[in-house]
Amino acid sequence: MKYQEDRFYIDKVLKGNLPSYAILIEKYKRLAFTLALRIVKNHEDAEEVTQDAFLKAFRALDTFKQESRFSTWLYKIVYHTSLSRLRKKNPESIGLEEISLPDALQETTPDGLDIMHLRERKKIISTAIDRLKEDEAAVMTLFYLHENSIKEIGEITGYSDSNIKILLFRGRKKLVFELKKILKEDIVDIL
Amino acid sequence: MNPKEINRDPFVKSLFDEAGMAEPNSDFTLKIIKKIEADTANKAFVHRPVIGRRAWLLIALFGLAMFVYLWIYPSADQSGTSLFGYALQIDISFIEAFIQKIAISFTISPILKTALLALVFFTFTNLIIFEWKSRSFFK
Repeated sequence: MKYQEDRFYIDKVLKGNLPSYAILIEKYKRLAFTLALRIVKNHEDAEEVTQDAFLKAFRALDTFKQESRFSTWLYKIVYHTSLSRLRKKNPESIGLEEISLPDALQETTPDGLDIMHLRERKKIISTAIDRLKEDEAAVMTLFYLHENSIKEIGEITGYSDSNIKILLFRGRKKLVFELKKILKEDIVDIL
Repeated sequence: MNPKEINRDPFVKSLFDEAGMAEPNSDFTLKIIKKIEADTANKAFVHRPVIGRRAWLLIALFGLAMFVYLWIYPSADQSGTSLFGYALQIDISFIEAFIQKIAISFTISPILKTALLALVFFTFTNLIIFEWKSRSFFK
């Protein structure tokens, strides 16, 4: 489906046209849901969180200013709703704690990944992404999948540019590390 | 790799692209729209009392003033207990007159009089307390 500019639908929604909001949901549901899923790491919770975020966005739509993109504003709601859900389930704070990585870690394509079937590859990559910390997964999803800029990620998460860069750096390393680990586990299982 | 580097690493980008986007359930949009409709319907039927809080406060104050007036009303025979020169005798003859006006002729017994006044006092003081609490005066 070819969509109009977000502003077009937002104006209609503000005039009481609910089907226009349904179009906005359709346009962003997968990206919003993926972001929530990367953080809460559970399909049911992610769906509830995303629905909640869309409901909050609808209620606050009249306060949305065009200073940023609608998607950035929506992801901010999704991100914070996901973190609230996590805090309710796990009261431990979510922050920028140090993580240790093997010194000899090399950022090369993990052996075996290129020869796998598409479905298996997708499953392994998703598992590796799921093993990232919530903040790393969120920042990396926004940067690599949603292609948000560092500035936009800062608006969404509230992190400084340098914190985002650190999270991206750590996330990249950990992702490759986890991929290698999963591939190793698979080989051991086969043998 | 330099932590300051912000280029999109092609390999990591390809991993995220390959993992793709997750798909919510097929009724996802419908569920949200139903929630919004229910939300909007609830807002349309917000309970609005016929008599507002302010009006209740005024009624309560008026009632209390009436009660106080009745309580310290200087009686003609000055037979009640005296306080600051006023006889503490309750004159509720207007209630009897009112009842007589609406053609119900019966004499209010002293016990009923006391019970009625106690009820009026209790109601008005509670209304005032409720109003104060609702305005967070005690917070």
